[in-house]
Amino acid sequence: MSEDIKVDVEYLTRVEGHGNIVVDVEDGDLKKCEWQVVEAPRYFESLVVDRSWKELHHITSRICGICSIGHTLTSLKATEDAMDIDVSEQDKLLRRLALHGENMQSHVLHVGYLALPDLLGAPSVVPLASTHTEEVKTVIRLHRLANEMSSLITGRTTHPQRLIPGGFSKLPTEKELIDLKSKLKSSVDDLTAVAELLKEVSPNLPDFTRETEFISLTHDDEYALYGGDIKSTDVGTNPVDNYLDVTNEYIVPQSTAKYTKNNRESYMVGALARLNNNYEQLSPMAKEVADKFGLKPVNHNPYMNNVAQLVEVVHSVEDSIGLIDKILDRGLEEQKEYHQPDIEVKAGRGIGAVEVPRGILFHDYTYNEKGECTEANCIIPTNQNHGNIQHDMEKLVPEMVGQKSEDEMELTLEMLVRAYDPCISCSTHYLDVEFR
Amino acid sequence: MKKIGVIGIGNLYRGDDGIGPKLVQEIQEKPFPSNILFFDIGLKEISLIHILKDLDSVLIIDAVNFDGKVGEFRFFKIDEVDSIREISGSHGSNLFQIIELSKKMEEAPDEIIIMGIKSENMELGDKMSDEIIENIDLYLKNIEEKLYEMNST
Repeated sequence: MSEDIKVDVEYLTRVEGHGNIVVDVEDGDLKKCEWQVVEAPRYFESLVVDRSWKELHHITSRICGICSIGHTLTSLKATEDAMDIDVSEQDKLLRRLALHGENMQSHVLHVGYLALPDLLGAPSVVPLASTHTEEVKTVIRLHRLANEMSSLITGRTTHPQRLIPGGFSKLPTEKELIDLKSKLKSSVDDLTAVAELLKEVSPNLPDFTRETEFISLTHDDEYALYGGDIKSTDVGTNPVDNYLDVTNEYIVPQSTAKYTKNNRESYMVGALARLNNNYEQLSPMAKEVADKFGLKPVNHNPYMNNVAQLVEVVHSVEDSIGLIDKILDRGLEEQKEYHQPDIEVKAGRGIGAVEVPRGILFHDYTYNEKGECTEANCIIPTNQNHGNIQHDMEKLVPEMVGQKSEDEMELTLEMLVRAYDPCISCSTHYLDVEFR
Repeated sequence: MKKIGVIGIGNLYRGDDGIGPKLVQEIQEKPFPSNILFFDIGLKEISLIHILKDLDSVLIIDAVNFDGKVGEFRFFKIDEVDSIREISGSHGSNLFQIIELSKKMEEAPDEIIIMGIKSENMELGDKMSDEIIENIDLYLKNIEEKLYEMNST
C-alpha cells in the first residue's frame, strides 16, 4: 500500500527537556526516522573542575530536578571511592531510603501525571483533574508521600542538603521514621487504586516488541539501586570500575547528546531493565503487581516500562518499610546536628554508580591532593537510552505504515519516547509572557 | 495567622534563570515573622502542587521574559497575563499549569503573586547579567516590603 506520512513533533511535551520526533514515509518507504535531541550540552563535567570535593555533590545535584538525590548519591560515592571514605551501615540504610523516596517521586510523577493522560485520552493531567478527580487526588497523595519521605531523609524534597561525604549532616529521629513507616503502610490502598486504574487502561499500551539488551546494577543481597555490579541481559556482569567498557559513548549527527552501546547496537536502562535483570529480588507485593500485568523477565516491550515503574513504586514502599524496621531494630545511633565526618583529603580517582529512576548513572572524578576535582565524567541514563529509542522507532514505524493514521502514528511514537521517561536536560525554566 | 510562602524557581547554573532561588536564599537571612516560609524549589516546579496546599498566600520569584529592560522587575497575578508565548519547564509542565491543577484540586492559596525579573542571559554557569546583579539589593528591599504588605492584609 502506497502511503506518504510525515510526523514532525517539535519539542515533545511531557518529557524533561527538548527532543524532536521526525518521520518521513514516501510511497510506503521509510525515508527518514529520527529521535533528535536538540538541547545544547551543559558541560557539568567542566563546571566541576577546580571545585572542592565538598561542593561537587551540591553542584551535580543541579543536573536534574527529578533525580537530584540520585545525582547527589552517585557523586558522593565517587568522592568516597576516590578518598577511601567509609560510610556506616546505618547511613547506607538511610541512603537506600532516600533513593526509594526519589524513585517513588519520579515514577509516580511519570506514571500518574505524564503517562496516564495518554492512556486516558487527555492532553495533560489538568483536564483529568475534572474527569478523574479521585484518581488524580490519589496520584497527588502518593507523590506527596514520596516528597515528604525525601524531605525527611535528605532535608529537602529536591537538591538535598543532608547528604554529605561520609554520611549525613543531620538524621531523622526514631519518631519521624516510625511516622513515615505508618504512612507508607497506609499508602497501600492508594497504590492498589493506581495499579487497578493502570490495569484498566493497559490495553491502550501498544503491543510492540524489539529484542534488545537491558543493563542495570545487580546485587546478590537486594534489588539493586544503591550499588552492585553492572549486569547485562546479554553478557552477564561487570564491575562498576569497567563502566566505560559497557557504555562506549559515541556521537550521531541528529543529536547533541552522546549515545551508548554495548553488546548490540543499543541497550535500554531504567525500571524495565532493572526488573528484567533482578525480578526475583522484587518485594512480594511488587511481584504480585507485575504478575497482574503479565510482566516477567525478559520483557522486550518498551511501553511496559510504565508498568515496571509502578511495580518499582510498590517495591520501594515495601522495601522502605523493611529498611525502617532494620534501622529501628539496630537502634538509631544519634549524632549532633551539622555533623561533619572526619575526612582525610587525598588525591585519587573514584567511580560511583547508582540506579536512579531512569536507569544506571555513573559519576567518575579525579581529585588532586588538595581535594580539587581535575577531571570528571558523568554518564546519565537518558543518554544511554537514546540509541534504543532510535532503533525502536526504526522497527515500529514500518510496522505502523498502512495500519495506523498519521495522527495515530504520531501519538504511538510520542508514547514510545515518553515510556522511556527521558530526562534530556533540566534547562531553563523561565516564563515568557505578555501582560494585558 | 495566615501562612505566607516565598518560592524561588529556576536553575542556579543557567545564568539569570537562577535569580529566583538566589533571592530566596538571601531574603531568608533577614528576620521575618515565623508565619513567612521560604522555599527554593530549584528545577522542580511540580513540587509546587504540594507546597501550595499548606499556604494562604504566595510570592513566587522567577526569571521572566516580558517587554522591558533586563533587570526590571514586576509583581503580577496570573489574570494580568495576556498570553504566554513560550514556557519551558520541568517535564513539560509549567508554572501556570501547576497552579491551575492546584486550583482544580481546591488546594490553591487565595493569593498568588509572581515577582518576575526580566532576564536575558541563560548561558551555562552561575554568572548573571550585570543589570540583575546590580539590582539585587533593590529586589530584596521590594520583596521585604511586599511580604510585610501581604502579611498585613
